[in-house]
Amino acid sequence: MFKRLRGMFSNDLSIDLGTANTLIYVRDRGIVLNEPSVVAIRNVNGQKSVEAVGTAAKRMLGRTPGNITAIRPLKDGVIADFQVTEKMLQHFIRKVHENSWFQPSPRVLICVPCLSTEVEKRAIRESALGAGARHVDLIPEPMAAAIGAGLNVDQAMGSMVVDIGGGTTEIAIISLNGVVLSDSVRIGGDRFDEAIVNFVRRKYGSVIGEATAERIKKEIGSAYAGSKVLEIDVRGRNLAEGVPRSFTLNSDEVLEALQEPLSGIVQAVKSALEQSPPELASDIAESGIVITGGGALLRDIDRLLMEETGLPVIIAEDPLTCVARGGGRALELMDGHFVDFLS
Amino acid sequence: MQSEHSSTSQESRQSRPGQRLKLLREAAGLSLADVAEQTRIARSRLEALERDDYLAAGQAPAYVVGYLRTYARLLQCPVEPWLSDLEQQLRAKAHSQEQQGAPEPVLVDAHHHYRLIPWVAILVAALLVWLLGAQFYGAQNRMLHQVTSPELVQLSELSATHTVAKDLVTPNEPPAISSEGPTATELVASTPLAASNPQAPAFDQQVINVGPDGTGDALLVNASGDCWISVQDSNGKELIARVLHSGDHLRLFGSAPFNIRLGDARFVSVWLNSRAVPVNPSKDRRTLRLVAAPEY
Repeated sequence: MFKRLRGMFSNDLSIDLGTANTLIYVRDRGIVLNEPSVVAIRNVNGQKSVEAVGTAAKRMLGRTPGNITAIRPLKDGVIADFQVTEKMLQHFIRKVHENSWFQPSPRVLICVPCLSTEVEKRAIRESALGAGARHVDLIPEPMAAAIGAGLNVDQAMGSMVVDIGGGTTEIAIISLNGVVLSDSVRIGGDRFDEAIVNFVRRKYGSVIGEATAERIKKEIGSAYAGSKVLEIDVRGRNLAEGVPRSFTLNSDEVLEALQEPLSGIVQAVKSALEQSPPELASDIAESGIVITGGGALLRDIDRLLMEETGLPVIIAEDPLTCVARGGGRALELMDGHFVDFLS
Repeated sequence: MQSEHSSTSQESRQSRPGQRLKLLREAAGLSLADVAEQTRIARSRLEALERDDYLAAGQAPAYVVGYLRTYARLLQCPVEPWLSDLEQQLRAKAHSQEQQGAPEPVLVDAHHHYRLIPWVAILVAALLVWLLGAQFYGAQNRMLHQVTSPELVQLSELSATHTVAKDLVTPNEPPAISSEGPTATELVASTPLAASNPQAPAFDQQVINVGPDGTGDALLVNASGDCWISVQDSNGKELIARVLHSGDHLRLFGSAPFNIRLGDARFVSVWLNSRAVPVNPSKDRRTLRLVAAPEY
């Protein structure tokens, strides 16, 4: 009863619990939280306590002393550390309700990868309940992404969405408020970073951290050959000499590094198109593919998919927040008893 | 004049990005087929875009904006200035379409209903607090008057022997209504409790003696208004529990220290062995507990 009373003073939330970033959308207020999914944990004589969450914890990644560990509780789009995810969600939900008198007890809609197993779904649901939510609904990520991108998901017309997240790339063909066909590959922004780290080690014999790899990807990363060549100065530890060295990387080298994960995504998109029912395939051929998620910000990724599939490819407006915004919109639609998007 | 004319033409061009794209395309020497080949956007859609017919250009506003962006990028033309304006137009069109098609705005109703609940809850909570407060103060007042009921008067009389100086009331006849009925009712008629209880007893100024005279410590209590009192001696034995009325004097003998509880401490002054005991009730609460101990 108290939960319900507290719920009256809590907002309905849509949470994009991503591998890289967690976004929270509150009805009437928009995106109110966009922080990295990182938790720093201090270990004092076996007693673990949360040191920092979100942006503050991300700054600690790779720079922590022995008694603090900065971890990312989600891997490949699913929960890797149940308790830490619960703590992180608790922190974020409280942060969203900072001005509230009561301890928040919101209704929560969480976006989950479309091929996540029942066990993974249950883990997400329970960690949200443990974080204080009074009711948890789950929605497939590509469905939320399509709604957030502004596609007409309720019409009898196929739309194809490719959501390139931090841990996974979700591909789905949507029609009449439902997912007709979906696929999920465990390739995302993290794999891009990893590929850059490996490439630099191989080619320059230097070790760089994931944060540096992410910076390289954001600043000069490119998915298609023939675009403007950019350069960046990078500092890393030289493996042979054991001292920090600086060197220059250009975007063609980064493209070479990203070839493997990018071809994985292209293959997945092609195989989804191959499996799609003919009517929907014709709709998609006419309207095109919509890319959302942080991966859509990689330069010329649309051009790569366009050349590989021969279909028009468009990048959604504000692709990073599409999933969270779509989740919020889905909550509103479900309140109006229009539809049921839940997985 | 000229500047005005140029600004209007600029505005019209800005509001019609399709026309501008067409001009740029022709300037670049590209045909529609070339653009369709390079962007993979269907030719019919490109034509609709150039006509600024956004409903035909894409199935959803998101597609139209995406096509426009791709087309503009091909022609290396900055697209951002138009987009906000275009999005507003598209939203307005979509909204008007929705209004024509949708039967009723259910979403808005659900939303209002959602926001109303907390306010109703706050109102109910405030009402509850007010009721509880009223109940609490009512209970306090009742406690003050309850002792006036015959049973409790008898109880207090059993525990303490007292003599009545003026208008002696016999102990076996607790309510003296029969002898002084009319005056007593007049006296207590102002209180609501008395109105509901026609058998409310009559009182007059009394000197009440409790305990064997002259033994132990002497406690003297003077009441200047109605007040409920209970006194326990050092052994925890209750010596008296009753109501004092204005002008009543209580003389009590027993072994100090005395635990005294007062119902309305504003009207009471206490002396122990001819020494005044300080009685300082707080502003919020009239009831008071105090211990009267002799100074050694």
